[in-house]
Amino acid sequence: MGSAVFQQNDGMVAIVAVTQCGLITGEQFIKLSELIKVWDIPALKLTTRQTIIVLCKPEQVNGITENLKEIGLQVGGFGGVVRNIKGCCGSPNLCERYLSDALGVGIEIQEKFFNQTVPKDFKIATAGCVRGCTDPYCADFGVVGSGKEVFDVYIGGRGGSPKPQHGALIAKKIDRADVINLLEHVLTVYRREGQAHERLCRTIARIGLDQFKLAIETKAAVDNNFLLFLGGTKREQ
Amino acid sequence: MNNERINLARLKSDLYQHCEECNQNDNCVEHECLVGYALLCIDYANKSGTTLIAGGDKLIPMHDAKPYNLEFVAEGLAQTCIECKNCMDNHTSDCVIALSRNCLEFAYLQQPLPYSGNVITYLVDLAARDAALAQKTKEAFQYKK
Repeated sequence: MGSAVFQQNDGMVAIVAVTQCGLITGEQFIKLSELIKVWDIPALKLTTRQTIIVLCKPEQVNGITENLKEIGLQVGGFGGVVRNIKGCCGSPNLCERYLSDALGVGIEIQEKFFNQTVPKDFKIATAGCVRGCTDPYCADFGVVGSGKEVFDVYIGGRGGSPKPQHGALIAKKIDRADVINLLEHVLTVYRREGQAHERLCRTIARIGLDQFKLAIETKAAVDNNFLLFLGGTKREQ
Repeated sequence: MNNERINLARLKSDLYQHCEECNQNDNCVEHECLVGYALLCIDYANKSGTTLIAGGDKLIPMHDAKPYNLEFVAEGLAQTCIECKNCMDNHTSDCVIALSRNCLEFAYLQQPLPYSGNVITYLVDLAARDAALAQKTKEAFQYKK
């Protein structure tokens, strides 16, 4: 794991700036334009993960990173961490097709889980209706609005691969609080069952979806403080 | 119930005897060992000042197939009987004493016995399940009391 700052072919460096599910305020935009002027940034690139790549010279990385933080744009992570969340426009104020506040739950998830350590990169996408504009069916944890402020949850999907796969439906029509709880349980089980550098879909394939779901249900029934205690005392496999 | 009324130190001491004689100490994975898990439950109860561990029975490593001898299990069961507060209808499987007892039952009987909340009934039920273990447990119980 590390900061998402990558060397480019032409000698430039790409800093991956994380937004709140693609949402950028007017003020942030203005400050970003000022940053572009100050640092003489040649170009920005929008990514499919709703981040902004800032292209710069290697010696500018630290200064620009600081300036990005000042305007509320964190630098992303890569490797074995929970990535920034992709969220669609599904919210009471935006997309007219929305069923559930996918943008709101996406931002909440990002605030709580972004950059947490896991065996392999863990990608989350939220969508406010079944169309799934943010590809929740191909996410490690996909949240799909399925009714008035209720969501279906899919786990173990994978995109960005020559062998993309859809996740498996593990919860239907659960509310926002339960989505957050379920994610916490999934991450706990993944950390316990997943081998180093093993993507969630492979962990599920190895131990079986039923076994993985059983582990989630068991975890949900156990005193969380006790689980944390066990996690702190057990020797990691 | 509270920890002041239950002497977890004595139970821990009895259980720990197994660890001292165990030949797997170098490779010990406590949460995958029935005795190790019981000790973890006791440590957690001590640390958190509670006697109840919600859902603790769901994590008992029931597949631990190491051999456990009758005398050790009987000593441990006897100590759980001494520490049991005979809660009767208020008995819960989340109790740290119940969890320790269940671990010992899995160790020797490969399954837990139902517990109705009092020691006398338990010893009768245990005799019906395994007369030799019940006899040893009863003797240890009377000796320890």
